[in-house]
Amino acid sequence: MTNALAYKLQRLSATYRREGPKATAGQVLTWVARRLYRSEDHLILSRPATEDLPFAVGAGLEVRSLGESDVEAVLKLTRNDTRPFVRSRYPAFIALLDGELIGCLWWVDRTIDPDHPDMVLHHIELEDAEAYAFYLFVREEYRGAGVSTEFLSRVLLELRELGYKNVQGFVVASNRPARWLFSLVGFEVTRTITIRRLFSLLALADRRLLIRNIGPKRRHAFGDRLLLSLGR
Amino acid sequence: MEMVEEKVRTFLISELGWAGERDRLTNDLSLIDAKVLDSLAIQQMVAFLEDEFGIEVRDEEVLPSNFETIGAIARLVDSKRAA
Repeated sequence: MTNALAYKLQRLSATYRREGPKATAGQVLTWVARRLYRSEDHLILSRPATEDLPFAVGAGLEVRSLGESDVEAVLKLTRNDTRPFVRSRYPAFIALLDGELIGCLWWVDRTIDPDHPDMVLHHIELEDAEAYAFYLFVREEYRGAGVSTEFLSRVLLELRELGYKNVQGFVVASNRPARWLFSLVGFEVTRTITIRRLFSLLALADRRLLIRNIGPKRRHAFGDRLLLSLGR
Repeated sequence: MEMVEEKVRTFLISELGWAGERDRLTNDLSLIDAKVLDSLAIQQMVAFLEDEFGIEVRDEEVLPSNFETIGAIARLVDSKRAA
């Protein structure tokens, strides 16, 4: 059973215990409807890595690049969500507090993977010395204490040290905490793209049709690939 | 406007865990530098402003420039109420 399915069953079970069969049926219907059709706005973000941060960055976290010995802990932390990133050998930064792993943030540049599914979906083409950051994860109990802000700030400084001049990323427009976090460290919205998903399989975005990569071992299993483009 | 600032100050103390002296929460203290408004607290702050003052804060208005200080928050609320 996949982690996602197990998680959904847990949530259904919790709803049944808390609110009864009617609410559970409503939740199932909502999920089914969202699999049939879903539309959401994604905000493409950009920030010069060379610009100083608007505040003093804390030093409470240890932030470093992901090493081989960290992989198992990161997979456990992210409930295996990041396995495709490990398989693709994407680089990541990890955050540790008192030696305990509490967060990760993954990134690529055009030499590492010019066809990263997020960039394909969002029609992003990186320049030289530009990085694309994705999948920021911080353990739930550490969210809301400035940890994410410090982690993201420190990652920007690390990327600057590595010679990157600009960093791009995206947030879902309705995710207010993520929008706030990225705006705090100076990211600005450069574009908004509406993503329309059909049957959780096809995506229409920016006058292009994309299809989900199916199969857990397939390259880019976590995203979409381009089927058809009608130009920008 | 003073009333808005006072209510925001009280909210910061009672709900968002401001542990310092009330007097230190001046209208121009940076709530971001003071690490009061993190990504979860901003949700609570926006919900509070909408409930308390009967305004709607759009997602694109949730920016550091509008929430950096108590004074900035009060100006945002004031501009919404005047509109």
